[in-house]
Order: sequence, then C-alpha cells, then structure tokens
Amino acid sequence: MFLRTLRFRVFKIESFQKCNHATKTSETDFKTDEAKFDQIPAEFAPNIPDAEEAHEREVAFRQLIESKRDVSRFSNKTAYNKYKNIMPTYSDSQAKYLKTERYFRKVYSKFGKASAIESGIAWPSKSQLEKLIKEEKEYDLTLEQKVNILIEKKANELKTYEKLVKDTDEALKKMPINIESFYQRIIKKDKSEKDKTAKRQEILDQAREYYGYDVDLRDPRVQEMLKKIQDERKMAEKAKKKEEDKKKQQAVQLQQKLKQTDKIVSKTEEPEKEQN
Amino acid sequence: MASVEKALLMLRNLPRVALNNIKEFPEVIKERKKQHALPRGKDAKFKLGADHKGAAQRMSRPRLGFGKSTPGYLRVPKEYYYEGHHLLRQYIPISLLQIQRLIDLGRLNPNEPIDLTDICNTKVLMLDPNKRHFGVQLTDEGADIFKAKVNIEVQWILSELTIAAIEKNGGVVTTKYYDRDCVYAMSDTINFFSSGKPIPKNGTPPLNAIEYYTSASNRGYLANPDEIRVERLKLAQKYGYTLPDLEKDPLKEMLSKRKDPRQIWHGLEPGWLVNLKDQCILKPADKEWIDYYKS
Repeated sequence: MFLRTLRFRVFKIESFQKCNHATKTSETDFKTDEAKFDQIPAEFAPNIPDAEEAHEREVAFRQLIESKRDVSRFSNKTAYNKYKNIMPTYSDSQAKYLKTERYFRKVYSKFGKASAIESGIAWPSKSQLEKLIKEEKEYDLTLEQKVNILIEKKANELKTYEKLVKDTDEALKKMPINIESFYQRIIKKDKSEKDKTAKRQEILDQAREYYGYDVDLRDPRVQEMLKKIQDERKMAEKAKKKEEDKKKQQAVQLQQKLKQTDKIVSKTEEPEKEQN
Repeated sequence: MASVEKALLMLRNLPRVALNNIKEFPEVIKERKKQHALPRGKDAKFKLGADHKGAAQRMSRPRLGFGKSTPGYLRVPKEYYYEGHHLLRQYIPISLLQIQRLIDLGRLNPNEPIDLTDICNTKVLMLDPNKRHFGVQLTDEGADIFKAKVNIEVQWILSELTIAAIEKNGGVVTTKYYDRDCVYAMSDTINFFSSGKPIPKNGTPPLNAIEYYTSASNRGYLANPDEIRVERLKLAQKYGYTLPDLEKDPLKEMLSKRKDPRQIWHGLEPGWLVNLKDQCILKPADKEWIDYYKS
C-alpha cells in the first residue's frame, strides 16, 4: 500500500522520497513540490489532472495516518482544530450556511454594530415583500370576510330551522288522511293477495276433483283438462245468467203491465167519480 | 305423467312410512359432518392436538388470541370522534389558584398587565409551540380564594366563574388570539431576540374561532366594548356581587391598557427589530415596509 502506482515518471521518484520521510507532515513538503514544478521544462511538463489527483490522494493518505496517530480522543473535528489552533475548514455544504441571511441575522443580534453587517438584512427584501403581500391577498381572508361568513352561516341555520318548523306543521295537518290511506292500502293489498290465492286454489281444487290427487299445473295435459272444465263451468254460469236475466225481464214486464192496468183502472174510476 | 303413476303404484306396494324408512336431506347431513369434522390444513396447527415435533409437542405454542390476526386485547378501536385531533389547537390550562400563588410569591407583578410572556417566564408551564400549543386557558380552580386585582390576557376561558372572580376584585380579563409565529416569539423571547427577526404581525383568528373572539360573554378582543359592559352587569347580578367602579380606580390606566389586534407586546409594534447587545430598537423607514406591518 505504501507504493502507489503513479502515472507520472518524474513525480514517481519524488513520491518514493516522500514515503521515506512519512513522519514529517509539515507544509514544507508541499512547498518543495511546487518549487520543483516551476523548474521542470515544458517538454516534460506534468499532465495536470493526473497531478491533482495524485496530490489529493497523498493528502488523504497522510490525513489517514494522522488520524490513526492522534490519541487525543477528539471525536469532533472542529474541537480538535480548536485545540490545536488550526484554522477551521468547512465543507461546501457547511460553508453555504455562512453566507445566508439567517446566519448574518444571528451574528448581528449577538454582536450588534460591532459586527460589520447591515442591519437591513433582518427584514424581507423587496421581492420577498411583494411575494408576501401577494400571498396574503390570495390566500388569507380579511376579518370582515370572516365575520360575514359567520353571519351567513347563522342566517342559513335560522332559515333551515324555520323551514323545518313550517314543513312539520303542514305535514301534521295531513297526518290523519295519510294514516287512513295507509291502512286502506294494506287492506287492499291483503285482499288482492287473498283473491289471487283463492283463484289459484279454485283451479287446484278443480284439478284435484278430476284426478283425485294433487297435480302439477304446469303440465300441458293438465292445462287442457282444466280448460275444458272451466269452459263447461263458464257455460253453466252463462246459462244461469241468461235465466236470471229472463226472470228479471219478466218481472219488469209484469210491473209495467201492472202500472198500465193501474192507470186504466184509475182513469175509469175518475170519470165515474166525475160523472158522480 | 308416467312418473306420477309409477309413484302411485309404488306407494300402494311399499310398507308404511316409519322412522326406519326415512332419510334426511343431504345438505343437513353435510352440515352435521362439518361440525364434527376434524380441522385440516391451516386450521390443523391451532386446533388439533399435539402431533410429534413442532410447537405443540414442545409446549411452545402462542397464548390465547395469538396466531392469525391481532388478538382482541391488542386491537385499537376506531373512534371517529377523534378524527383530526392531530390538527387541533391546544391551550395549556392554568388555574386562578396558580396565578394567586405566583402573585403572592412575587413571580408575577399585578401592577403591570399580565401576558403570555409573563406566564411563560415564570417557567410554571411547558409551552411548546411545536406541539400546536397556541396559548393558555384559565380554569376556575381557586375562584373562592382569588383576591388579586389584575389585568390578565389569556387565550381561552371556558367557565364564567373565572371571569366573575376576577371582575369581582376589580380586575379585567380579555381573550386574545395569537398566531403561530407570535407564539414562538412570546413563549421563548430570548431565543427569539437572538435570532434577529423583526417582531411579527399577528394574524386574524381562524374561522372556527371567530365566533368566540367576537363575543362579549367571552371577553373577546374583537368584541364590542358596549356589549362587554352589559355582560359585566349580567355576571354581577348572576353571581351576586357589586361591580366595582373602575373609573374611580387609581390603577385605571393600567387596567385600561389594551393591545391592538396586530400587536404582541405593549409598547412594541410589529416590524421593529430589538437588539439586546446595543440596547436599541430599529424601525423600518421605507414606506412599503411600514405599510405592510401596519396593515
């Protein structure tokens, strides 16, 4: 691991030398490297991307060794740097925060005018202000609007209540009628059902009379027989009706005759009376 | 109808119907078999006796209830009346007894108006605006003992007794609504001033709170002061004390101090920057900013 494969010839030799002096990790080593870069002629000039990579690799390697050598048990790098009075280095993501408004605001609140920060940073900038005003107009309701919504809500509640009262009064007036009609509907339904079942039972009885046992009505033979029976019965009924009609007509004719005779009798009597 | 005739012929020749001739319907037989049948498949593990090897033999089967679904004593019931509870505002209760005690011990000053900040600075309550704590509510514990004359400002009051107890002694109560940003500022003022923000502008209460803060019976800060006077009389008649005349009071100025609906602290307006290091207040000078903070 000590011997790293490097792509650059001149640098190789120097790297070997460095690894031998691995204990020394002062800045002087870096300075000598840079000086040598200046002396190299242009033909043998280094390939710069490779050189940077190699440089970074060596830096990381040395840091690794240092971290293994330091026995201070500092878990926090910033605390270690403070202890050793080393200048703190922030990573990119950390350094971004040092340029934000929030950080400047906090520094100003802590140190006041002594921190050379403009106090205007605490307030929103012009564009931010415009945004705020726009958002308030769009999304927020003013007090008047909210109160009006309340008033409308209460008015609607009153309305529905009054409507309810009205409707119930009107409906209660119709209640007795509705109750009667309800019961009548029930009676009708029962009647119609009973009539249906009675009719069905008649047909079953007729079939049972003929055959002597219960029979399925869906058979075509049964239906034919039933038809015949029913036709016979209908004929009988019609005959009966005819007889009854005849009798009625005879009765009516008799009455008419009686009336005529009464009239004649009365007419003959009257002239007799008049004569007398 | 040959089938019927056949059946009738059979009937003539068959023996009499008795219990030994009859058979049940096949569906009923199947049901009965199911009831007395051994469980098979997935049920077999839990319902059958112990077979060799496995949890049953080693007496390591789970206890009653465990197995397929969450057992009954671990189920959390659905209680739909709690719907939305994680979005509701919360007000921490503080009683009249506590306030009287703080005044007696010297932790609250009755000669100045009492505010949310004053109550939070006593460190009696743990008010965390991150947990939707929007302020403080007064409870009526200690209404018998209350003797102090104070100008209190609270966020919610439920019972009339508290109001009556305070007004009987010549004090004044109001309920005021504070926005979330304002509660952040009021609950931890040192932290707020060290962050370097200007004083925020208080917002109007949300729709479900407007009725409360515009009603005089709750002494809301948006209510009509004429109605409040009527309500004071009503309470005095209801609870049986004479209303003390505040106009002849030596502390009249202090008791009549009220805040603007957009204002958070007495004497400070929204938009001002307070710097504790330099001991000064900075105010914006441009017109747009002034208009925004005064709207």
